[in-house]
Amino acid sequence: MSESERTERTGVATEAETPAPTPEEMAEKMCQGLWRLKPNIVVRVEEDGAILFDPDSDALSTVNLTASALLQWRRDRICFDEWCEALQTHYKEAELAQIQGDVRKFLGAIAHFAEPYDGENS
Amino acid sequence: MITRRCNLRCLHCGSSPEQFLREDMSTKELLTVIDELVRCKVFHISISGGEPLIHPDFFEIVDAIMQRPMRWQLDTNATLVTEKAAERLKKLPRHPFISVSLDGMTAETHDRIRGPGSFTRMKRGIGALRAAGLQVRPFMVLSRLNYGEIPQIFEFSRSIDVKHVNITPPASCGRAACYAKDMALQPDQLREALEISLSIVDRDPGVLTGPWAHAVDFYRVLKGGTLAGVKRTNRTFLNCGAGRGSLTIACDGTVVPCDMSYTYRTGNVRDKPLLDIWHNSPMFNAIRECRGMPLAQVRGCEDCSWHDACLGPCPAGGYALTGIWPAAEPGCVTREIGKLFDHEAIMQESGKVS
Repeated sequence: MSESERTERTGVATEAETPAPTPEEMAEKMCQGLWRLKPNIVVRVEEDGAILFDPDSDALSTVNLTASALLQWRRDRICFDEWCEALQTHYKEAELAQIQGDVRKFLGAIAHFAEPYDGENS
Repeated sequence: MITRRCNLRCLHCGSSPEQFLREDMSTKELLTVIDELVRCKVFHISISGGEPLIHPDFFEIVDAIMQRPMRWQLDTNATLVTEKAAERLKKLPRHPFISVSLDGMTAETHDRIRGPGSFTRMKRGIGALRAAGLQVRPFMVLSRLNYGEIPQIFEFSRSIDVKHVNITPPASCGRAACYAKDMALQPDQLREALEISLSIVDRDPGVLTGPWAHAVDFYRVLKGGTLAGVKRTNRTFLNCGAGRGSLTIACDGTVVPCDMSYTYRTGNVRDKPLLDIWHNSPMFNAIRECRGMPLAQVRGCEDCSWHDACLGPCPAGGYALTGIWPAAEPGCVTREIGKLFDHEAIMQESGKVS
């Protein structure tokens, strides 16, 4: 049965019928516009990075020290360009393409914990 | 652990009222502890007892958890679960993971262990939880009194769409210490319980969880007659997560590594901040230092033949019975399973004679 047939019969598109975006797709999406961590996300800073926890979905994710520092710096303003710029300032020797790749990967890892943000009340 | 009070007097209970040094914390103190757990960025908590549902402010405590960013588990005997209580649990924004004590599938067996009438009330409680659409996970303490009913427990679990059953050997502390000799499986019973469990796990991998699942895995390896292909443990003490990734706060505020180690007191949240106890208690640090310790240095493991395939004993049981850290508990299940086999033949087959 096709997706449209299922939707027609049931009248609703269920979660199973609409595959969740992959981390890569989410990372691509997060490279556009402003994002922030959802307010209820817990960030536990550890010696070697941080653990993100979503109490509503029970999801956990770990990030490295650099990503942890970025989240502590601005959990309420996640912006691909700004983060790349900050890292470029800090790691002067690193190539921009490398930094962009790393930030994209990081955004994929935290996509579940983030939401779009219009920039107000920042 | 929110209360020491319980409506049952189970033979295998790892707790006993006499082990607590101070009175139970008040509801206000419990709420303060929850806030402290939030400050420590604890993600998961288990609410246990005694029987947690006997606490007059149970739902006030639960509501407080709901307002904090954490997930929770409820450990209950289910006998006090009414339809109203189940509905209230169902309405919570984050449903608990509910672990229900289930020690037999006949009233005779369950009531012998947990007291008269407990079987009927437990089944009614599970029925109320299921009717409310809540998932439960049976928790069975395995003993010579109930090992014959393992198949029926899994059958019942399947009938109510339960995906996992947690089975554990009896604790070595609390009231259980008094009945340990009467409850421990004899070698032939141990083999039978392992065979029954193995056939269930072979049909439905992953359905069995808890310490008994490790015992069954170990039995499967030895039954295969060789350790070849088995991931070697490098003969070191790996230890469980207690004291490294988790802890228990007793109803009187005492902080211990797990609920089987009440004599291993690391501090009290009424006297010191939890984070201070967690980071600075010499007793917690002693646990962390044990990781990687050669099993030959663990008291009670020195002469065991199965270091190659053992993850190390339950240190809580060892400490409860011997007062020594780290030590294996006398009657360690790995050792008892090992005794069912010819060690030399297995090692020869493995291409390694120790």
